Amino acid sequence: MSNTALLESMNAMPMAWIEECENDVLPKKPNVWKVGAAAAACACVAMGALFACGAFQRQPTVVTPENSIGTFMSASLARGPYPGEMWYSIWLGSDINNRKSTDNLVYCVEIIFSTEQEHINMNREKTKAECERLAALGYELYIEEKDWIGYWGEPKHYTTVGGFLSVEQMEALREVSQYGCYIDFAMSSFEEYTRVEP
Amino acid sequence: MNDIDLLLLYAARDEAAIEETAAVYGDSLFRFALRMLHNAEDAEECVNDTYRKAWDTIPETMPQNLRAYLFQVCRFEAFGKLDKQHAAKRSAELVELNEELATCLPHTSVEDMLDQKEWGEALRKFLENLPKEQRMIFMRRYWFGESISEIAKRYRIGESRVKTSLHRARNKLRHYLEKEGLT
Repeated sequence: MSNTALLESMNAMPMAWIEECENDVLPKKPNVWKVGAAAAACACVAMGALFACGAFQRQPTVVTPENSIGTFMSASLARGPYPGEMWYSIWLGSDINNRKSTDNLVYCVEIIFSTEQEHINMNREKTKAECERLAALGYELYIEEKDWIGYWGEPKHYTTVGGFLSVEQMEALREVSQYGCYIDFAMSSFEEYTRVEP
Repeated sequence: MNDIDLLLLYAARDEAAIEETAAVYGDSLFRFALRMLHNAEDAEECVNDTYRKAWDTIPETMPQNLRAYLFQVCRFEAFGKLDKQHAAKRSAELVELNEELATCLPHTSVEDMLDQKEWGEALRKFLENLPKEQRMIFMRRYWFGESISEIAKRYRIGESRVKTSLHRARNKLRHYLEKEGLT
């Protein structure tokens, strides 16, 4: 072989490759940063959409509304109770009236009516009446006025009942409640739940 | 005059085809030949041979891209001229380029390597699968015989990018030849 043989053997390269070399610019490669940024933006939009749909909202774990108009379905849809419904939501570690539940023997309970503003106003008197009725049965409960931000960022104000219940009181709640019982345990953090049949 | 008009002249066997081809592509063909032959007289002769070859082959061979076809013929003619010259007189730059390409082959002696046809075929298959950008740079270097700086200037990229691209392409070629059992 001559000392230019390798170059010489390239004579037979396809014409198309010679043509493509005539371009003054190289084919554009995708910009890694731009692709990454676009992917991140898409992920943010997707996450935002999921959040807006309530995918990251706390889902109730235990619903036992035997004598409630409210059902498991209504709870699992992560909406507030409809008019006429009442949910009792019990949280460990909740802060009610500047007190926290500290162990498994004392629970915080929230009695929540619908979080729709028109229902809230409609149900305020019902909430108070239920609180007074349960207090008469020995429950330590407090009326609470709460400010809350809705899914779409709208400010809301509603009335709840908060209090501290022993295990026995909690277990008896669905019997004594006029409205049914929606019991939701958050054992340690926002993400962790334990299903407990009261 | 565009390529179609030129090809029509060749097809009509009108001798003006050669004059018009020279007017359109003469300068770039001359520069291309000069890069390989390093002698103005030889380059001039090579370009004239290119026109003659084009006249003889068109319209039997009707190239889709006349410019690319002329460059291919010119390259062929230039290497033919190199072969006629004594080895020592060959363009040092081309020899250097050839050696650069030979780094893909593990053999120390070029005589041990594949014959030209086999090598050309292997190279064609290899380049077929190379990304377009890498192939363009590779072709500019080893087909057109351009320098690193010329390629960088043409494509408006840094010289280091050209060097890196060529280095990677040669490495890939070496692996390809080993994988195919061609070395």
